[in-house]
Amino acid sequence: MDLSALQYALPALLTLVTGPHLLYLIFGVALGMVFGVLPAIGGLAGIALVLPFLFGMDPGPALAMMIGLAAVPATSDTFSSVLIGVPGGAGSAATVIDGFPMSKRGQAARALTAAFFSSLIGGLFGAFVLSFAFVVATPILMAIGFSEQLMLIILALTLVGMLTGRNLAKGLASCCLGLLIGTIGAATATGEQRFAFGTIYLMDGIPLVVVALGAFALPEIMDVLRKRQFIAGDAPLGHGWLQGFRDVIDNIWLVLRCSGVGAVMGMLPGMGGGVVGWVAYAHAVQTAKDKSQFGKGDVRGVIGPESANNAKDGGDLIPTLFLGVPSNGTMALFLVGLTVIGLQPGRAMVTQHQDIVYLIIWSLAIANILGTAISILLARPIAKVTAIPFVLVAPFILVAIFFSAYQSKSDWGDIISLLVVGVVGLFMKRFGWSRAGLLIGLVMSRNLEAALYRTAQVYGLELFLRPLALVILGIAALMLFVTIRAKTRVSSEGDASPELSMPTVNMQFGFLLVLIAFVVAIALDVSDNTFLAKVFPLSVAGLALIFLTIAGIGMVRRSRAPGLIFDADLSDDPETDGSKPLLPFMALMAALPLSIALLGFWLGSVVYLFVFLWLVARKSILYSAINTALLGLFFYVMVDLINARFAPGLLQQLVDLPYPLG
Amino acid sequence: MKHSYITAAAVGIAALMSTVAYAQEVDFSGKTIELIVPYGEGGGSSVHARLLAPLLEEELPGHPTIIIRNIEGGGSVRGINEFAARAKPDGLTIAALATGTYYSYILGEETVQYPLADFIPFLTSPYGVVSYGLTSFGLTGDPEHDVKYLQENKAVYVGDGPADADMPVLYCFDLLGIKLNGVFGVSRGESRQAFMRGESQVNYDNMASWENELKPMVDDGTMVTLFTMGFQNENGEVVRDPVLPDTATCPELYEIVHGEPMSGVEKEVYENMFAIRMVTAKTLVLPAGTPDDIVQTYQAAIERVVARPELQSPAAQLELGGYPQGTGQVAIDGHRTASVMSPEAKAELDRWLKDVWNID
Repeated sequence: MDLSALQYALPALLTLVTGPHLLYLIFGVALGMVFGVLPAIGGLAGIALVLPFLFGMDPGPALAMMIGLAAVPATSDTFSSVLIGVPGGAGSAATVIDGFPMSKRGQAARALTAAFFSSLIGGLFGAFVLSFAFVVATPILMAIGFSEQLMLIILALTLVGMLTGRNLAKGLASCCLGLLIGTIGAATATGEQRFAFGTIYLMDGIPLVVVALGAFALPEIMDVLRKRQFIAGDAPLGHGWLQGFRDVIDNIWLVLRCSGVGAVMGMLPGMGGGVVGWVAYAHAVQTAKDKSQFGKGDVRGVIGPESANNAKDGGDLIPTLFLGVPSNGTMALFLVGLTVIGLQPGRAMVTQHQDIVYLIIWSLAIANILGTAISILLARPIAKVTAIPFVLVAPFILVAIFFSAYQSKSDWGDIISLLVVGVVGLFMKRFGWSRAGLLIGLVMSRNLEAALYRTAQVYGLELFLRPLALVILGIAALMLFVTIRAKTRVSSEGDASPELSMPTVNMQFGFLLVLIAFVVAIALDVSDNTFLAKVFPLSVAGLALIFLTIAGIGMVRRSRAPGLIFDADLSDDPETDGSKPLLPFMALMAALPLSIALLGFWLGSVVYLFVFLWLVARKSILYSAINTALLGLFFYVMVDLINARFAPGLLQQLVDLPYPLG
Repeated sequence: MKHSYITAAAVGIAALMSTVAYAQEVDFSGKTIELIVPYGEGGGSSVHARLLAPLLEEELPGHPTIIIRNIEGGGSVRGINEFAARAKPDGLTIAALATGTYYSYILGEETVQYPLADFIPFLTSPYGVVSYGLTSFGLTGDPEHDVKYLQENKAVYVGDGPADADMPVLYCFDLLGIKLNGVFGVSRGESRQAFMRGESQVNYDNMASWENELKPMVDDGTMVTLFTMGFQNENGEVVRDPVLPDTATCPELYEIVHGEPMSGVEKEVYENMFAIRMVTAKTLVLPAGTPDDIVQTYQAAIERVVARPELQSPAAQLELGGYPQGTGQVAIDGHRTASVMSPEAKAELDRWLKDVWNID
């Protein structure tokens, strides 16, 4: 192994800590913090914001700034995942599963510290891996062909099989539904449209982040609104800062293993960042002796995905820098930034710009340290949100979610999808269908279909002559065996016994029929397409129908199988005592998009907030007006800052209004 | 005598006034110009736009702010549809077109709602295209041998798809009698990786990747170039690409294979694709119906942008491929050729997609 490149490490560090580099790095980190805290807006928006200013800048400071921006959101997006149950991005939805329950138990402080320290270790691990990637990256990447990519995806799917919830048939059906939603839009092989009804919005599929927000955030908000006064319930805010630190030390091997998972998955082609957190979570569950607390607030469920998500940043940079192939949108913009400052990624990076690569590595490491430090400083004030009456927090969160969702495609389709997924997610949560399974299926769908098609086309049966592919397949088989034998299954959908859940069995069966109708509709729609475009969705639809039928027969027979007949609203959990009926709260949620549809986003959300605070939260007109004005101002600034857009409403169609009204 | 002084002064003042009036007429002071890029943040169109926008800001009268709005979806259809529907002819909304915008229009996709030919181009950036193959597959760099070899040994090709940006290169392979085993829906970057792993045996790239990515692989004997799409010189003739003067063009190989030059409808399709892929690979346009003074302001500004030293830097040259940028009438002519296709040529293209690739 030729490690002569290491001689550049120390000079690069000296360059970074002297001169303007550090200032730019700090600026990037600060900006990255802000963008990370906002749900579903991350490094991508940040880099887009600074790109125009890179022209004429020296490469060093420009790089430091971009790395700061790209690296920190994975740390700071933990705030919303843990404190308010809103995934900071599609990749951090796994943190919600145990992070939010910890907040509800009054352990927000512990969860946050544990998350930040594991993020720090993960980030440093990623930087460390990157510094050796010079030598090993190219041979490894060259060994991972389409067949190996396929096997890796299958391996990831078997790993996350742990997360199907209490009932296996319902869990697998949820995963198949996610896979099916992922097939909406242009077919990989032929470009044919599937289930798009001629709309351009659906031609590129439903954005992952919209589904993550709809399936996780909206149901959690509705639930807390209905059942509690504060997020943290009656529990005091708690101290636990030291405890969180101790949790990381106690689980240091888990942190390192998950960091390894994150770095490797970031580096390998064909996986996509969305799945990293889930695989790390599944690994944490699989290797834990006592699995009973997962889904209810086990700190290991926070540590795993958080260390992996940060380590992934280092891994992501490997194909971006050394091959010029960006692994996600943020990295694609990072590439643009490199070009703007006169650096060409690819082979030349390894041979001619080792000093630059080390500058990037050190920037990554220091950005992670700074990000962690700032996050811990901010944690105390921000964590107080769990002790504010939730009815005052909820409307802000709702508006933020709808705003974030609209930024993914700037199309009304985003808002409609969010609402539909939100309502379905609400019932999935209540009736015990795995939302994690749904999201994992969606994350994997495109990659799985593409890898299957490419492997079949390039290798056919010769696939089984590829040793590396066979090794990965062997590991996958082993994982599947372990998963099937596992007695406990993690569920983020709560607890309820079949006996208690019996009264609403007809409603549960009705929901199942709705799911069947959706599957049948997609199957019918794609059946006109060519073989290559329909073989994958039809196979998945077939599997989905099998699992749904198994679950349906069980319900008709009033089976006592765990989690089959399930209604979280009828559990004996003391939390649900005093919970209010569902329907008015759904109307409350739907009132926001309705208001936006009439008045446009800015005016619509401002009016909604005012009415909510005044009439629902029963605050004074003055209080409501001041808060409303602050929100309006905030959005006004945001739009200017990140070039965001407001959804137009009926009002804007009728009259031409000045910004921000129009 | 005195009279003529006064006349001269009057003329002078009038001239001064008219320039002032002209400057007042088109002045973007304090204005924000939206540049719609119909692809994602990391795509080639986005890089191209982000490279030029800051310079255009400085060269337009009044130094407006240009914000780049990436509107992805349906190839490039969603972004350009929105441009066509929303842009007022006031110079405050402009758009970047790419090859896909032309293909979707010419193939008559149902979703297209933009009047492509009516847009007013003020910059066309050509990009050369080179196709290449693996030596370990049996290719030698001798064009005659390689074409024959590929006719007899079916190679795997990994790429975007025959109805997408790959169309010209795949059409060329077909003109040369070469059948390929196509694997589609794969981005350019991923396609090159698959080629480097030996999973595909022929591939292509645009010239922006030549120096850093492709040339090293030719130098170490991993691969050989097969053909370029050619380059259009000042006289309108298709000649060898200045970046690769030793590599034959597709029409040259056609003549070797068939014993006669390309002609008839095949030639027409080739020329149309050439215009789209080479001449107008990246195009900046104003909306239909933009008044002349605004068009002229943009044309003059972009001429100054193209001459700026920043664009002569090695990094910018790599990004622009070193090709001369099309402004003024060159841009207008190029865009016209690229956006109009005769019914016969369209029929031939449809036939080709159906017969060779089974696409309706």
